[in-house]
Amino acid sequence: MLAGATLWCVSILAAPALDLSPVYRFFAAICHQDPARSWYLFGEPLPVCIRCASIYFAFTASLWLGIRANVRWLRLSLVLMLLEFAMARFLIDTAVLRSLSGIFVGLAAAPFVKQGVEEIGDRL
Amino acid sequence: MIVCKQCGTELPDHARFCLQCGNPIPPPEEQQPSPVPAGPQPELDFVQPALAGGMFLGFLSSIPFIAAGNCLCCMWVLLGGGIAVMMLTRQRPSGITYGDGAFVGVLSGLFGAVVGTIVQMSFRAMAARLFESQQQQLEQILNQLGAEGPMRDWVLRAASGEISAATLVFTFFTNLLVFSLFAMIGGILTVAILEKRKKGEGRTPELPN
Repeated sequence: MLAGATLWCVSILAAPALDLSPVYRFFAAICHQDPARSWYLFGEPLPVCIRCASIYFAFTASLWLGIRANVRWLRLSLVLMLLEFAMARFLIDTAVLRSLSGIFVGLAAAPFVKQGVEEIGDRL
Repeated sequence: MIVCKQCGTELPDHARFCLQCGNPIPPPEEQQPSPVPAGPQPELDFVQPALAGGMFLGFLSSIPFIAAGNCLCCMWVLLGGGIAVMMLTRQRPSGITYGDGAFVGVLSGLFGAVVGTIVQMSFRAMAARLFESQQQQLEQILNQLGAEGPMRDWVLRAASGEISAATLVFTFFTNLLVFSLFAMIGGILTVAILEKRKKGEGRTPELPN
């Protein structure tokens, strides 16, 4: 799980650095890849937008740090992300807010996903 | 009303000592939990919820324009996993584990990949006929809009109608990986979100650390 999440993040960072077009094509299925809403590395946009990148990096960081599962934080983070998304449409849309909402969701979701994956591993 | 274990005297709920023999009464949280009607847990049927979730996410992730909903953190795929979990929870109202949520999520992702690939290829074939004569116009429009990068390539590819074996295989395995992974995450997170405030039997316990 930890290795998979780390590989996921490394591929995101490696795509612009090594000009890996299959990685861009893969992530096109799950992200709009709007260059105006993406972070840049070596002059090239990452294959996922700021919000997605924040979720994935925070998710991996949460696994590395062993953050504890908390349902309240998960619910709160998801509500905040929905609010941020609505705000981005109608009020204010900044990279900071997008990345913050992504970080919260990534940090809060990872322990639950880890537990689910461990349980499914036991089942198989 | 509680009962003294020492002498059997009936005492008020808030009593800390037995009024008859003086035996200390443990506070409520230290007492044994009241027996929960145990009974055998009903067997879960994963296939039907997974099929429903898979159909949902497969269709919505493949229909042009509607599929753009996946740009919000794979919304349709996460919801597909969530729908499967909600249907599964109906079978066992006492609750399901994160493992159950993950399993039904993966299954719905697998079904969704099959459905999604068929639908995507169908739309691509239709687009090929519709846009055959308008490829150059589309390129001009994209140039005028200043569209660049992967999004531009994706739009052109989607409208080209080119269906090679490589495209089919790549689409299917991308769907398989992405749908299974994200539907699993959707399933797990839905189990967590639906978790009752008062933990019920059969629920995955809190993490120890």
